[in-house]
Parts: sequence; structure tokens; C-alpha cells
Amino acid sequence: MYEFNFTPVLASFDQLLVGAWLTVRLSCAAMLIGLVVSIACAWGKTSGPKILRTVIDGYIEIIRNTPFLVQIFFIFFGMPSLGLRLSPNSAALLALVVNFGAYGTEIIRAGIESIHKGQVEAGWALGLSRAQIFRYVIMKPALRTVYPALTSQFIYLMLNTSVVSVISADDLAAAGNDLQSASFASFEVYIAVTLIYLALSVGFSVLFYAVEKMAFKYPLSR
Amino acid sequence: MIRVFGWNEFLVIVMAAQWTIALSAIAFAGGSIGGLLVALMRVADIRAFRLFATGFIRVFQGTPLLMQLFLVFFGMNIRLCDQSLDRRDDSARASRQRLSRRDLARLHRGRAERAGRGRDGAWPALLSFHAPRDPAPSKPHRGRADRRLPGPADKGHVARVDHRLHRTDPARADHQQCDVQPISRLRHGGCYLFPLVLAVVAGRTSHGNPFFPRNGTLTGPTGGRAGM
Repeated sequence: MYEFNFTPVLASFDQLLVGAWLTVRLSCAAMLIGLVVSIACAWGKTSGPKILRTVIDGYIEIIRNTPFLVQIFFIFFGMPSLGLRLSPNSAALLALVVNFGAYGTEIIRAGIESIHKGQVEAGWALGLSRAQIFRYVIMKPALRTVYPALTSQFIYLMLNTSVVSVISADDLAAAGNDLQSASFASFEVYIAVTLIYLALSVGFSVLFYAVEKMAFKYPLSR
Repeated sequence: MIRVFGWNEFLVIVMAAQWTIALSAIAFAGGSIGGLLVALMRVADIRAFRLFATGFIRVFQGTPLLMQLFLVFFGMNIRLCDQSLDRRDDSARASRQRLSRRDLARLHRGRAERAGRGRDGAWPALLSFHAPRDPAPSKPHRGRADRRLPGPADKGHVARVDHRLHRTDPARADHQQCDVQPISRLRHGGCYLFPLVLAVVAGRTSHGNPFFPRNGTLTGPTGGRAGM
């Protein structure tokens, strides 16, 4: 019968926490930058010129139809051939932003297209500027509509960060790999790492629920 | 000497894509069956089933695939290495025997009683693979239940069906048998047709795949013993 030995895991638990902190930072930074990319691409896809729509369509199709592992290898190993050499953490952040941008664009585009045309015309009739219409009439209700899908995508992004350990970024999975190669307690280490990921996932779910309650508490209709 | 990436190297990558397709098809077929079971548990009346299914979904949705892969790889090594095939046979046989006639009758009585609760109760009843002869169906549905179920089945038929469904020994099935009727196996077989076709296609396309060797026998931890 196998006997679990969590002593090496507990002795080096601070390493795992450092890795978890980098995972959280990477995820949050990728989400914020990726959200900006998503909104810009969604705007370009819904109201931009045709050439821009074609370019954005190509970007989305390429990213959504290739594995994240291949994308991160391409950025980390392929970009130096073009003269752009990035550190592992920077390459990981860029890959996460590019990946989240493609998925987020489709999610936000769906939200924008759910806004009825009459509401935009009502905004024009009220004398709102183009930017005000985009911000208050289109984006705010659109984000409210797609908020659940967006938060699910963020959780997925956070779980995807485990892959960045393959280019030696210092995230939680990389910390776990280092620890298991030093202690040879593979099963125990990966159980601890998995539980930390699960705690992060549950924690972010609770956080997003609280944000939803605070940010979208206004009524939809009278 | 650095190997130059050429046409042959490209073909090697393309050939490796067969593995990707085969693994995806197998995972899809197995996931469909497992997902159906978990979905049924998720909406079951028994609270323990619902809790288990909720925990299962939460854990696998909230952890990265890479970690699940590591845990299975390292964990299965630990668990299966010291467990002999004989001991697994014993435990599997013991778990099958736990589903004795009384237990099955109790399970199916709950199913028959649930049929009175409208559509919520009706769909699990319709999904059943075999309906028992209920010793005491609920009163308002007694007539309907009796019309759907066959009369006393002959022992040989019951033993054969029980052997197919539970893979028990036909010679020893007399103490395990229950009055079963394979009413909806064919009717609901279409649900499994698509995953099975995918699995067969995957098997045909994966030359050199250890899961599907050319002689057609399954290999793996069970050693291809179909009687398991």
C-alpha cells in the first residue's frame, strides 16, 4: 500500500505560493490587456472597414483553431528568428494576451450584436457623441450580457497558464515541476499543485460573482 | 549535424496526426458515456449522487488538464503496480454481486414510483436499459406497469440477458437473476451509435496503435480479457 508523504511539499510550500502568485499576476495582466484587445477587435469586426474585418477574422480563426501550446512555442522559439527575443515570462504574457484576445473578441462581438439597433438610434436622438454611444449604449449592456461567458473564459485562461511552464516561465506548474524533480514525491506535489489551482479557480469564481453583483446591480427594465 | 526540415520530416508530423485523431475519438466516445453517467447522477434524486457529480464536475473544470494528466500518470503507476489481476477480478466480481436481486428490485421500484411525478420522473424511467418485474408497483400505475412488463420469463432467457448485461456466469446466475426485460436497449442504442462509429473509425485509421493492434484484440492493463 502506498504511503503518502507530504513532508517535502509542506517544507517547500512557499515555492508553490510564489509560483501561484505569478500565475495570478500573469492571468490578471493577460485578462486586462486581452480585454482591451478584445474590445478593439470586436469594434473592428462589427463596424470597421472590410479589410480590417478580414484581418480580424483571420486572427480569430488561426488562434481558435490551433493549440495554445503551439502558439506559445511559436512566440517563444519562432519570434527570435524575426529579431524579437522575449524573456519566458514576457513570451507567456504575450501568448496569453493573443489567445484571450481571439476568444474574447468573439464573446464581446456576440454581446455587441445583442444590442438592438433602435437603442443606438435613441442615443443619436438624445445627442450623445459616438464615443458616448459606444461606451454607455453599446458596451455597458453588452458586457453585462456576456459577463458569464467572459468570466468562464478568464478561468480557462488562468488554467491555461499551467502550459507556460514548458517555456520555463516561473508559474505554479513550473514551481511544482521543480519541487517534484528535487523531492521525487511526484504524486504528492501534483496533488498540492492541483488543489492550489482548484482554490484559485473557486476564489476567482467567487470574486467574479461579487463583481457582478456590484457592477451590474441596476435593473434591466422598469 | 543539424537535421534539415524537409518533406520527410513533414510527413512524420502528418502521420503523427493520426494519433491525435484516434485519441480525440476515443476520448470523445468514452467521455460521452461517462458524461451521460455523471449527468444522470447530477440530476438524481439521491443526494449523495448529486454531491458526487457536483464535486466531480467542479474538480475537473477547476483544474488544468496538464495537472490531471500528471496526476493520472503518476497516480495510476502507484495504484496499479501493486494490484494484481486476480485481486482486481475478485473486487470486480464482488462489486457485481452486490447488485443482488433485492437491490435491483429496490432501485427499480423507486424508478417505477417516480413515473407518477410527471415528466421529471418519467425520463429516467424511460432511459432504463432493463425494466424489472416490480414486486410492488405503486397503486395508480400497477396496471400500466403490468402491461409493459412481460410475464414470468424462462430461466434460460433471464440468465442469458443477465449474462449480457452484467457479465455474470450463466451457470451461477440463478441466485442473481431478476426479471429483466431489455425493452429499450435497441430503442436507445442510437445514443451510443455515433461515439461507437467514431471509435471504430479511429481503430481502423490507427496503424501501429497499441490500443488497436492488427489482430483486433484489445490490450492494456486488463490484458485483453473480454470477460472482465
